Amino acid sequence: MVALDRKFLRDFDWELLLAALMLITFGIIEIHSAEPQMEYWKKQLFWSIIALFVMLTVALIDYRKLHKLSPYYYIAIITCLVLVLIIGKKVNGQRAWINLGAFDFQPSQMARMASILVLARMFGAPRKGPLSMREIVTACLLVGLPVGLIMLQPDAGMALTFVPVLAALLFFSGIDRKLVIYAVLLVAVSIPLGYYATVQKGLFLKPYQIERIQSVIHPELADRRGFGYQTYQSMIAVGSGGLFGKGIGKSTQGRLGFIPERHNDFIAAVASEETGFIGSIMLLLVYLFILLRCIQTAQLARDRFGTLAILGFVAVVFFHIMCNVGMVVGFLPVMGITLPLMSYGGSSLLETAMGIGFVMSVRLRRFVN
Amino acid sequence: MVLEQPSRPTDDSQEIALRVSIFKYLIFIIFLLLGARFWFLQVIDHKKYLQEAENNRIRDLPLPAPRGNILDREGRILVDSRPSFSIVVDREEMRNREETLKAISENLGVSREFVLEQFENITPRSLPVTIKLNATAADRAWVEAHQYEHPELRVQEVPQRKYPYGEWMAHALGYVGQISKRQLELPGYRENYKMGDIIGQDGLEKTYNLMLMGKEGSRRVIVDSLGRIKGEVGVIAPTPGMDLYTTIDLDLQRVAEEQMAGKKGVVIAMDPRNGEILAMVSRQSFDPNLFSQRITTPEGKAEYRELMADPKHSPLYNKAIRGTFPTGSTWKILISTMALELGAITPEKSRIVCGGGIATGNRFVRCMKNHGAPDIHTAIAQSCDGYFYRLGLKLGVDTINEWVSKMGMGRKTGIDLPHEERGIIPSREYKARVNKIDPRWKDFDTVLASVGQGTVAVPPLQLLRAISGIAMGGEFYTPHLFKELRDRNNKPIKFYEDRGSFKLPISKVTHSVVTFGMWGAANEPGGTAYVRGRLDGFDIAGKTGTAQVIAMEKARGEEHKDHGWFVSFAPWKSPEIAVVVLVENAGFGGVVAAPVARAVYVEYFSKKLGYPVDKQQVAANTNPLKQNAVSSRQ
Repeated sequence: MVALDRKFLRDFDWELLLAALMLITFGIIEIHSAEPQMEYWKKQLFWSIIALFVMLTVALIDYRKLHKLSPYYYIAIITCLVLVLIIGKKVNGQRAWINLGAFDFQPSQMARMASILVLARMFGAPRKGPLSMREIVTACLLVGLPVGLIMLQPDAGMALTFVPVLAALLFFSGIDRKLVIYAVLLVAVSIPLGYYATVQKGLFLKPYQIERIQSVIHPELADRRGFGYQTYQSMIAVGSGGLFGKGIGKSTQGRLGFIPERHNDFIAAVASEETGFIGSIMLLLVYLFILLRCIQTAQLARDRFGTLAILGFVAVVFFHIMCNVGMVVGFLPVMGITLPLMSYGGSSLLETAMGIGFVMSVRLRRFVN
Repeated sequence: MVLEQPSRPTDDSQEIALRVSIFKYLIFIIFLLLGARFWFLQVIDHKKYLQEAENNRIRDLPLPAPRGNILDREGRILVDSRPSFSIVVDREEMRNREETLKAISENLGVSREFVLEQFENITPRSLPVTIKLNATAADRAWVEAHQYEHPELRVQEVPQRKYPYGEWMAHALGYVGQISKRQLELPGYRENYKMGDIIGQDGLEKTYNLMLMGKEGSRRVIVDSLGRIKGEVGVIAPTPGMDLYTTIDLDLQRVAEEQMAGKKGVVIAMDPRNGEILAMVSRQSFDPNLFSQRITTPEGKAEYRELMADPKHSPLYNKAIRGTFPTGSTWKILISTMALELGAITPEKSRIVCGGGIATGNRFVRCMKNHGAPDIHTAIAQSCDGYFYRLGLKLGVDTINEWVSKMGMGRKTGIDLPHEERGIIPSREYKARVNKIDPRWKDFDTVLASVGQGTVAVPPLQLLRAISGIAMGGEFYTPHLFKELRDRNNKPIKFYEDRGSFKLPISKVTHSVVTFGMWGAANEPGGTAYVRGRLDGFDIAGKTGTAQVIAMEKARGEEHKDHGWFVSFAPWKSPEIAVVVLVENAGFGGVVAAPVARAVYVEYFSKKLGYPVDKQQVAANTNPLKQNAVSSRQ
C-alpha cells in the first residue's frame, strides 16, 4: 500500500479520476434520461460506487504484485469461462452470465484484463529485437483460448474486442515491421472481399447480421421492424439533437422507444440527442483526454510490464469507443459493443475501473526509489 | 531467464516510442472522423433528422367524412350510407408480418392471400389497408382486446354506401368503389384523391363525386415506437359531403321500372321545358350494393364476373345514353320537321304516293301496307314508310344529315352522366369509312335513312331530346339529373345551371303540323299508338317505331325480333312531360312500347291532379280536330 501523504497528493492522477468521474456521472444521468421508469440508473449508480472503490483500491496497490498474480488470475478466468458454458444462464441466446445470488457476473468481460496481464508479463521481460515466431504463436494461443471459449457462448461481439488486445501487445512488443504491414494490407483487402462474400453472396453471416451491415450503407431504407433499424434510428436521434441538443431529460427518440438498447449500447445516441454537437464533441474530448493520459502514463512507467499492460488497456478502450460511437453515428453496423464508463453494465464498469486503477497505480510508482 | 523482475524499457530495439506515436496519431484521426461525423449529422443535416424525428412521433389517423346522400326531387332518399366497421392494418406498426397474417387468418377469418393482395394494392406504406369490411361485433371485440400485441390492427368506422332501391335507377345513380392505381395517374384525380379513397365510379356518384365526398379529417396523435398512442395533438374535423337532390321523381321511376320488369330496353321521362330527367330506366340492370358492400368477397367477385361476361352488352351499361339503336319510324318526326321547314312539302300540298314501298336499285323496300297517297298527317299517324322513302329521296342524305345534326343527333346531349355515346347518323362519309366493299352512298341508303334504319344508331336520350325540342317549338334543353346541392343542414348551396341548351327556329306552322300528326298517332283510330297509347283527356302525342334488328326475311327467334319504340310528350299543346320507351327484341312499338309510356303518363297526371286518371274523361278537354289546328286532310 502507498502512504497517503503529501507525495501521494502530488503524484496521484487527479485529472484522470476527474475525467472518469465525469463520464460515469454523465452516464448515470443519461441512463436515467433514456429509461426513467426503469431501475437501470439506480443499479448503475450502485455499481459505480463499487467500481470507484475498486478503482482506488487497485490504484493504491502496487501493480507489480499483479505481475506475479497474473498467471493465476488468467487460469481462474479461463475456468470461469468454461464454467459459464456449463452452468451459465441463457440470455438472448448467449450463455454468458453466471448467477451469483444477488447479481450476475460476466467472466468474458474480465478475461480481457487477464489476457492483457499475462501477455504484458510475457513480453515485459527483458528482451531484445523483434518478436520471434514462437513468441507470436504463444501470444496468439494465450488470447485464442479465451476467445474460443467466448465464441462458444456464442458472443461474437465480445470475442471481437480481443483483437485490440492481441494487436496492441504484439505491436508494442516489437513485432517485425513487415508483419505489421502485412497485417494492415490483409485487413484492407479483406474488408471489400468480406463485404462481397457476406452481404452480396450471403455467406458466413446470419441474415440479421447482413441486414445490420446493409443499413449502414443505406440507413433510410432500413426496415422499421428489422435489424438495421437501430442504426437509422440512432442517426435520427443524434442528428435531431442539433447544435445544442434537446436538453437533459428531453430526448424524444430515446424516451419514446425509437432507439432500442438505449441504456447500454446506444447510450451515446441519447446523450448526443440531449447535448447536441457541443455535448458530443465535449464527450469525445473527455475520452480523448483519458486515452492520451493513460498513454502518457505508459510512457512514464518504470518497467515494460506496466507500459505494455497500460497500452493494452488503452487499445481495448479505444476500440470500444471507436466501435460504439461509430455504430451510433452510422459508420459501423450494430455490433453489441458497449461504451466504457457510460453504458449500463456492472461488469463493464468494474473492468474499466480496474484498468484505470491500474494506470493510476503505475503512475504513482513511476519514480524509481 | 529472470522473469520475475520487470525491467525498464531502456533499449530501443522495439521502437516503442515510434509505435506509441503512431498509435496516438491513429487515435487522433479516428476521433477527428467521429467529430466530423457529428458535425455532419447534427449541424449540416440537422433539419433533415429533425424532420425524421417528427415523423417518428406523429401519426395522422384519418377521420372519414360522411358521404352526401342522393335524393329525388321531393327529398326522398335514393342513396345513403349505413355505418359499418372495417378492420384495417397500419403496416408501419407491423412488427412481424407472418405473425400479423396468422393472427388475421385465425381470428378474423381472412385468408393470407387476400391480405397480401390488399397490401400490394396500396403502395405507400403509410396508408392503412382495409382487410375486412362489415366487421362483426366479435371481430371488433377481438381486435380491441388484442391492441397490445397487435397495435397494427385497428377498427375503423366506415360509412358504407347503401342503395335501398337496388336495381332501380342503378345506372343513373351509379356506384362507388375504391380508387385504382390507374385512376390515380389520370389528371384531375391525382390532385384530389389518394390511394384507398372510395370514389364514385359511375353515374351521378361519379359526376358529382367531389361534392358528395366531402373532405376527410384527421386526428394527429403522438405514438411511441410500438405504434401505441400516447397523446393527441389536434383534430381536424371532417367536412361532410353535400346532399344531391336529383330531378328524379321516385313515383314515375317506380312505374317505369315495374313496366320494364323482365324486359330489355330503356325508359326515359323528361320535362321538355327544362330538360329535367324525371325517370331513367335501363334494363338489364344490376345491384350497386355489390360494389359498396360485397365486391371484395369471393361471391361479389363472381357476381361481377357474371355482369361482365358479355362485355358488349353488360347490364352495367346505361343503355339510355350508351346504347345505340336504330330508331325506326320515330325518325320520321325529324324528317317531317325538316321537310316542312325547307318547303319540300307544304301543309296544303303534302301528299306523296305510298306505293306499298319503293323500288330502288334492284331491290324493293316494303311499306307495312299500301296507304295510297297520304298527306303528312296521315303518314305520321299511321307511320307510312312509302311516304317517307320518297320524301327522304327528295331531301337527299346531305340535307338529312345537316338537319338531324341541327336537332342534336349524332352529338352528346351533355347530360351529367359519364359514358355518353354520340351515336351514328346518316352520312356519305360514314358509309365510305365503314363499308369498304361498297363505299358509295346509294339511294337505297337514303331510303333506309329516312325511316331510321341502316346508318342510324343513336342513344334513346338523343331521340327524346330531339322530339322534346320539336314539341317545344324549337327549344332543345340539355337533359340533366342535377337539381340542387344542399349542405348537411339542408341549406341549398348550389342550383342547376343550364349549359348547352340551344334554339332552332321552327315555324309555328311546321310545329303544328308535326305535333298534330303525333297527336293523331295516339288519339285517332288507325293511329299506330291508338289502341295502347291513348289516354283520353290528356292528349298524348307520340310516334311509334319498329326498328328491324335484322331483315325480315332472315329473322329467326327472339333475339332477332324488332325493337319497339315509342317517343312521346303530353299534353299536346303545352307539353309538360316527354317519355321515350324502347323495348328490345319485342315487336311493334305501338304494341310493346306505347303501353309502357302510357303507364308513366297515368302516374304523372294522377299525381298532378291528385286522383287516378286512368279511364277518366276530363270534361274540359278540347278535341283538337275542332280547333284551328292545320288539318292536312284534303
